Amino acid sequence: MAGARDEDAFRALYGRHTAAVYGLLCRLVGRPSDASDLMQETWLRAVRHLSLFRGQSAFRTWLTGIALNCYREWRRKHAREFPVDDPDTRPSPAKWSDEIAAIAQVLALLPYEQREAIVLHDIEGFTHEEIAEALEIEPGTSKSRLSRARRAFRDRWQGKP
Amino acid sequence: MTDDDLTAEERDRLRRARIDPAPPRALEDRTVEALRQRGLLRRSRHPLMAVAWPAAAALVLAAGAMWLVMQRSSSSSAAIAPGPRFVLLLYAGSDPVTGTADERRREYAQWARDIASRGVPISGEELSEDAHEVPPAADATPASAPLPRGFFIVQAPDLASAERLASTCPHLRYGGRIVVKRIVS
Repeated sequence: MAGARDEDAFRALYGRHTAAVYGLLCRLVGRPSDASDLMQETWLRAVRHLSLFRGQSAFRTWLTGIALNCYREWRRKHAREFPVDDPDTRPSPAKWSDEIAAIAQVLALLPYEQREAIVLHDIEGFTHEEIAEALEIEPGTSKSRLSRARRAFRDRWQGKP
Repeated sequence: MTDDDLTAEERDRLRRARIDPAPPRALEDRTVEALRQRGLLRRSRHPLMAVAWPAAAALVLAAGAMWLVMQRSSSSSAAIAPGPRFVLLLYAGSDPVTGTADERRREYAQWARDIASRGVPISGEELSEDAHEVPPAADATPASAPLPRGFFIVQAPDLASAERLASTCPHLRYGGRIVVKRIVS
């Protein structure tokens, strides 16, 4: 086990950074069980490649980059899955206290490309350049996806079919 | 602004959606186990392991006794998973409040249930309007400084997450203020 990391040190790192990255993955993939699997894979890769972390960015940023790589691979495998529009899951915007659940439901109904555009840009605050780098697309593609995503999100939010 | 731009209301709505749910508690152990199996993690060597068995046994007994005392004296804290906790102190605002108190209570309770359903430990209570100072103030008037009307205790990874969570509380919609403070424990 030469080169193995110390468990306590890892648990401290885990406690500090997991919730934020897990939250991002939940918003992207929709299902907590998938987010858990991706979070575990993220940590496996992070620990394996910890020596490559040079401290040029914050550790959270580096870990988020790995998580987005894992997500990108996951999405390729699930590219043929389409969200199901279940009328029972449509939001009722008038009930403000249910707003967060309603947003999650509307996001879950969007195709992956549109969901990740809204999550990364409008919720997480990534720039188009950062999204382009993370998802290996052009910044212009990110912008056009966001436009379509916002229109789709708005229509769904207003209950349009 | 084009149709593709967000309105201020939409922007706020999406910003409020940025709540980080607590990961499943089993995930940490699962991840540690997966790392161990791949030879990427080794068990920590604790100084206690080096001392003689009788001393270690004594320590374990002492720790057990202390745990029992803590369980008896603080059953509420044992109910919440370990991790940073924050208190959200709810202060009344200056604007007149709309709706009935029961409606607001239901809305606050629903909000807390929504948070809890995402795996975030949360509890809270409403506080009565009257307050009594001990010892009584010299002029016999109760505390003149604004007093909280209620509170929530929530577990969050850090202060920023707790603040984001507080920003979604319906109390703000009724013109109230929320002060977030970390619980030192």
